[in-house]
Amino acid sequence: MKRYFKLYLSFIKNCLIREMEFRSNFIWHNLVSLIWAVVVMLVFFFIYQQVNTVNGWTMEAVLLLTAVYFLVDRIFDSCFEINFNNFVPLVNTGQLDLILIKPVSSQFFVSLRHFSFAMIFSNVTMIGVIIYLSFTYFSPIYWWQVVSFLILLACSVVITYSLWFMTLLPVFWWGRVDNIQHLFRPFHQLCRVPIDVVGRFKPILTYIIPLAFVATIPAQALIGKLSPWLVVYGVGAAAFLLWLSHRLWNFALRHYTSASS
Amino acid sequence: MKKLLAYFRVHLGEALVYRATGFIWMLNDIGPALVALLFWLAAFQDQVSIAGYTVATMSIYYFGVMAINALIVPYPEYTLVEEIRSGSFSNYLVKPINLVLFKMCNMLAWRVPKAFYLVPLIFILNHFSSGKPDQVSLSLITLGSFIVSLGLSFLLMFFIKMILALTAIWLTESGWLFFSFEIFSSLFSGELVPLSFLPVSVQMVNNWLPFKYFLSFPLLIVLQKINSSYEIVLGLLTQLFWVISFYLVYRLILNCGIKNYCAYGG
Repeated sequence: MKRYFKLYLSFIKNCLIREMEFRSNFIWHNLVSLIWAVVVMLVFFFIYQQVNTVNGWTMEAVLLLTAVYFLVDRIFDSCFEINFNNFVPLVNTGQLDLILIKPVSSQFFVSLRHFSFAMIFSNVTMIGVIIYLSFTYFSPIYWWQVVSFLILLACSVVITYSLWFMTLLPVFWWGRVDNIQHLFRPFHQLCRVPIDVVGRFKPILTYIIPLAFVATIPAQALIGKLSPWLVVYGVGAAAFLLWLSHRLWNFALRHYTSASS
Repeated sequence: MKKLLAYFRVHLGEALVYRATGFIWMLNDIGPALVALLFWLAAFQDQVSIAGYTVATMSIYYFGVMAINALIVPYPEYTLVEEIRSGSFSNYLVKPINLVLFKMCNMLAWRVPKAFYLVPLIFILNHFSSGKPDQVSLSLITLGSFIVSLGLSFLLMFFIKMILALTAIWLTESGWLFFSFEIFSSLFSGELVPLSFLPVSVQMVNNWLPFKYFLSFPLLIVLQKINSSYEIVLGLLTQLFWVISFYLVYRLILNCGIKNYCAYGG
């Protein structure tokens, strides 16, 4: 574990050096990423000038959910998305060979080799928005709510990673599908709104494909509408999906044929 | 014409080989609008009408957004940037290939498999939607204006995105520029929310910009929220003005860009 931690730190250091070579690009990417989050929040603000509540969700609650969604999304983008974009070329050009022979978990390497710093402004702002909204509109906030939220936030990142990672694996069979890293994105966007809006599909999206744990349930922890057992279920679901993603990765690797002659 | 058909056939062959790629892009095109529609359907459970929209008109609006995103919005910028960076952009300069027509045929060819996926999907979504927007009666003039407006919308977005792509001749990294454009475009074109939901002052500024002609204007024609012939003709002429303006800017930037363009390697 310590070896992996040290390795990950050196990956981050290496990426920081690379990022600082293109400083203006780093600043622009950060700004654009932040502006997108602000625009989505503004849209909800405009909508709520015409409606009072949607399925029991007030404007403040939806803004909190949006901030949680963008926080999780940006953490995911920083840690994993940049690696997922490189995944298809790794498999199709046979460069995965070089990773498989390294004395390190191949799933760890393909998922975490690169780190993006382009989401820092957005993450800091979203944390600020979450703190502001929570203490202004949903106070008093108790310590157990904060602890539940932090646990669910970690579960949310793990669930997002695991589900997204599993959607990449068909590339081992399908070959050239250059945009397979975008297959999960439309489903992930569903997490941008309260999961209650899907009506009768809500139990499926809570317990079977637990997209509700990406933003809705962590936001409910701060709003104070969370059943404690959902925290336990979230931890279990995240652990199970991570384990499943690892099993499927090993299964997919058995079908890897490399690309050289 | 023969050349155009040949371009189209080449790109159609490519699009039919990579069917899964087309399907994934189609899902990404309709995803945000579908999520927005779900949110609106929930909002309409408590209200019959919101800002002049009923559940049926809102459903038509977002089905329209999905269809325009999948079948009209072009994305020539990403491949063109790669071609400029890799040096294969030289092909357009040394061979008798018309860059605009070549890219347009590429865009149109990729829409064929997308349409095959999209049409049944919209019918399925319509079946499950509580909005039931399937009873729309359009006059021939409205339908004609809508189709012309969609064509102009395609040309307008195409030339703007070609201009953005050509900036790669001068800029090392232009991804942030495309993303910035997408953000402003999605807000001011009416993709995220109908423009009547924006504050009046923002709407007034937006009237002087080309964004609303990407998506909102054609959809307002089909929703019959723009009724008078005068308004429709004025809108179409304004759209045409923007298309011609951006085409001229594109020609100017292309001519400047060719003088600055450097292709390395063998």
